[in-house]
Amino acid sequence: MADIAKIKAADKKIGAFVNFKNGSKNEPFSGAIKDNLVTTNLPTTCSSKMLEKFISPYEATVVQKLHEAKLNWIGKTNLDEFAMGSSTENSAFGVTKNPWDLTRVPGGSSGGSAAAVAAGMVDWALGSDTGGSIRQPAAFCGVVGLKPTYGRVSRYGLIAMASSLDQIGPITRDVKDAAQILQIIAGRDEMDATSVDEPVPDYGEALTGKIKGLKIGIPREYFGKGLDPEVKKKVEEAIKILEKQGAKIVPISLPHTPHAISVYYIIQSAEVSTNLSRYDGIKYGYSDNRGDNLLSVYLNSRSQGFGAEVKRRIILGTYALSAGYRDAYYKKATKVRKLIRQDFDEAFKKVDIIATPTTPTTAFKIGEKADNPLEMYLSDVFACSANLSGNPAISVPCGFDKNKLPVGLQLIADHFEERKLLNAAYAYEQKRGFDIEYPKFV
Amino acid sequence: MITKADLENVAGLARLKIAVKDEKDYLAKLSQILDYMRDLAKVDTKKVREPVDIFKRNSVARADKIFKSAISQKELLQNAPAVEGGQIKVKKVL
Repeated sequence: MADIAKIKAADKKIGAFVNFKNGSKNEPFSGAIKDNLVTTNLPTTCSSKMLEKFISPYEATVVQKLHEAKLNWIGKTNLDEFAMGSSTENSAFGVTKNPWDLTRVPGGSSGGSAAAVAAGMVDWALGSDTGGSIRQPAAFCGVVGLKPTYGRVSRYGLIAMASSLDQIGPITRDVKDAAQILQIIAGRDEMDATSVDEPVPDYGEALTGKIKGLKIGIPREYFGKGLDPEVKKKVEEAIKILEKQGAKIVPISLPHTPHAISVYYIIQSAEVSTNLSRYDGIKYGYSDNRGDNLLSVYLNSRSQGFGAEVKRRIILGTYALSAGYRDAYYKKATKVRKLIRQDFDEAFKKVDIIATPTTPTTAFKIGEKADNPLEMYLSDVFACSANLSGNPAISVPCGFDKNKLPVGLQLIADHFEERKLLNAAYAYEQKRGFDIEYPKFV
Repeated sequence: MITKADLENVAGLARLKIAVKDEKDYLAKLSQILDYMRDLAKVDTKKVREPVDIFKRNSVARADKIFKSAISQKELLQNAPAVEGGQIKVKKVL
């Protein structure tokens, strides 16, 4: 790891960090933690005015596990407020820039984590992925991002956004490091009832690079309208490289894909509206007690403490759950979610891995989609299905467009098949035929 | 399409105040998003039952034993804006 003073100087240009840990040491294999994972020695802000001064009385399970594994981390990284966004522009503490082009977004919501790894400030970072928030910024920043199976990693101490979708995972420069971090953070936790009691296999051992006979499904719905031709070309080249190593390429269909964004934003907003009701200005967080009754404390604290996108999603979710609209929105979305899950279950009867682009385009300009939430939501179109279905998925860099911006290849596997997933990604990485020359900041 | 009355109702339920100057922007953006979501109506879900657990996990019930938290009362109250006698102080309800 680079010198901490150099990292801080580099961060003045990138804005990847919200807070640095006091007395950080220059240890090898140092990392960073997304600022929606609670820590006792630094504030956990969620990049929101609501939690600007919040210091957690307990530590997230993943943070404890890193400590037990004696892994050093140097600070907490920026995100879209409460992880709501795809560009890390919606932060109360400033916009994070993409190290490949400082006029562009790093993606989001784990944009600070992805930018910190791409800029060489840290070797690894933890992110959280609710609808692509690890994989999309990893693709935009030219790094590896892994969303494990829902239930593989404890969510205890991950500040809840949408509880049926949220999952913690690593962002690293290569697949081997991602496997190493997953090894540390995976496993059942008594403090998270949705964490699953499945044995944690040896992920490093699975990285043989041998994929002869592996069946890779290519879903046609991911290669149509809206996909940038340069991204398409790079992903198709990557699939050819997998084929050359003996993988069998199988055309498949995931027919409910076109509805994933609608389903995702209804369910996620509905869960946001209930999860964020805890911020009331009473127990912790931003509080405005100038009014003369309890209701005024709620209204004033929430209206001033939350930013525009968070309020928009709370309203959208409350609407989707309210009397008269619940059947048409929330109930309908949960049914279509089931169909999306069935699409994946059917596909994995025929194939081992599904390969797609991670994002429809490369990194967009800062401000380009800031005032158009629907456009912003559509940048998650290829990533959010794996959250709805709970499948593990990884983004691996697979080339650059003409503006020298990274392109991401997404691989998806069946539930708890992280070994297969990581090995397919590793096999590609070993043979992709180019080295990534990361921009120098430290 | 979301109406001004809908917005006021839902904001009230969500304990949020929307400033008059922001109403137009909220209505325009929410309507655009809700219009997009109308595509779901086209999906035939007549035979699909509303899922209880999308991940098909078995019950996660555990033994009913008291779990002693390592967090003290003092630590739990450290973030509360107003504390009196070891309790969180709130405004009158009515």
